[in-house]
Amino acid sequence: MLEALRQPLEDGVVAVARVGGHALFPARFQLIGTMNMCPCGARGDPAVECGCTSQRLAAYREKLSRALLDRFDLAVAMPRPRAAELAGSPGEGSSAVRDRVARARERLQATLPRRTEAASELLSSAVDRLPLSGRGRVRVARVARTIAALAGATEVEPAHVAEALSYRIPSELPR
Amino acid sequence: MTETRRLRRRAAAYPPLLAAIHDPPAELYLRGSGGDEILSSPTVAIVGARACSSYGRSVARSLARETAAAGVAVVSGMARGIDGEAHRGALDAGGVTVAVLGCGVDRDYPAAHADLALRICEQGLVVSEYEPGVEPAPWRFPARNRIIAGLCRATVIVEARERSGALITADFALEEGREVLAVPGEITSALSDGTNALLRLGATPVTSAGDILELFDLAPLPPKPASLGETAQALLERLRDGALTADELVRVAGLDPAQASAALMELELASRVTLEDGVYRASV
Repeated sequence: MLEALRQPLEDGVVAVARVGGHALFPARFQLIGTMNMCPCGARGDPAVECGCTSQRLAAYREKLSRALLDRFDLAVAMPRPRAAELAGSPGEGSSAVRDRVARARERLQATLPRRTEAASELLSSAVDRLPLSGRGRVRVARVARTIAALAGATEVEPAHVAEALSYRIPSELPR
Repeated sequence: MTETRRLRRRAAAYPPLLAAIHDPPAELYLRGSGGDEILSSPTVAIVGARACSSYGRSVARSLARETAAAGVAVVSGMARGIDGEAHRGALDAGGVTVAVLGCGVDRDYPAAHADLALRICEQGLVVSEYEPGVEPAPWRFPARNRIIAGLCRATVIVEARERSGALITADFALEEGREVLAVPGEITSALSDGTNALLRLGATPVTSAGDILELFDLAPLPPKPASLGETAQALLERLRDGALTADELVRVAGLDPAQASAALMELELASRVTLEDGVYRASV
């Protein structure tokens, strides 16, 4: 079922072919998924030790192919909230966020900000060191551009690339 | 794949430390671009359990990196867990690492480490006393462990439960009069029961790569140039008190998330921290 999402994610259509003919269904959507890092759910929490055997862990992670994972633009780690966090303030309001997004989209539609030399160097060293696949690199570059636009910057700076890199798909999956 | 070559016990290049054990292998099969002389150069074994914690993995990687950076080759068994991280740490430093297998050197065991084996072969060696084609079997691993211990002046156990196979390597080392070192673990963690027990019996504690390198009269390479930014430095200090997720770091350090991301990336690229399953840890 998950793998069936690959085509619409990439092409924005679902193609169905039968003996009598074929059809293309428009399928543009935004996919948001959640998962634990392991079946017992402990991984990702520094305070708890994971009890999964390596076979169980591998079987769990192999459910997601690298090809499907590579189609996600952002991966955000959501640690277990602590009591203090749950009791804290709600944070920025949705309308403020929406305005910021709308302004950023306008900027991007007008001109695409270019990377500074330092930002490109950072991206290159990350590709080698982390490591990052070719597709991963392209996505990080695009996300960095969006971050720059959201920040109202005219160029994509190293800080924007660094933030984009922090949203990359973790290399542990699907290992 | 590079060709397999054979090293007989009577050959001049047969490593003296291994020849000195009470039942050295009659033959060694070697694969890789590393020269035979690597086996006779300063080497240390870094081993541990397959089922290990993030702490164990992170420590294995850091210790191996600093050891290899100082010019000491890292020997291990290429198993999942600690062994794999030890090899990767040595490779991170652009150093030499030797994998000793419990099967023929033409078999990548485990299969998931096929790429790792290729990288090891770029500058190091994959070694076995079994001829090519021999399949891995559980009873071959203890025999393999004697070679790991036998090749080295010292064996470091990073993390092991009470009855872990990794402790067999420590036993061999002791029998042959080699140094045994162990990394202390949390006393509440069963994964460190074996290593902590070794310490109680007198194994040398390892709290930094310096503890390993001083056996070779070497010092770790000078501390990295202090070219870390202020934010990065501050975050590194926080991480020395304990592993944290990015979110926790931002909250605890009271930073702007974008600034924190940039600083964490700086630390990751400089190998000062490791990131696993969303958790940051300061490198040893």
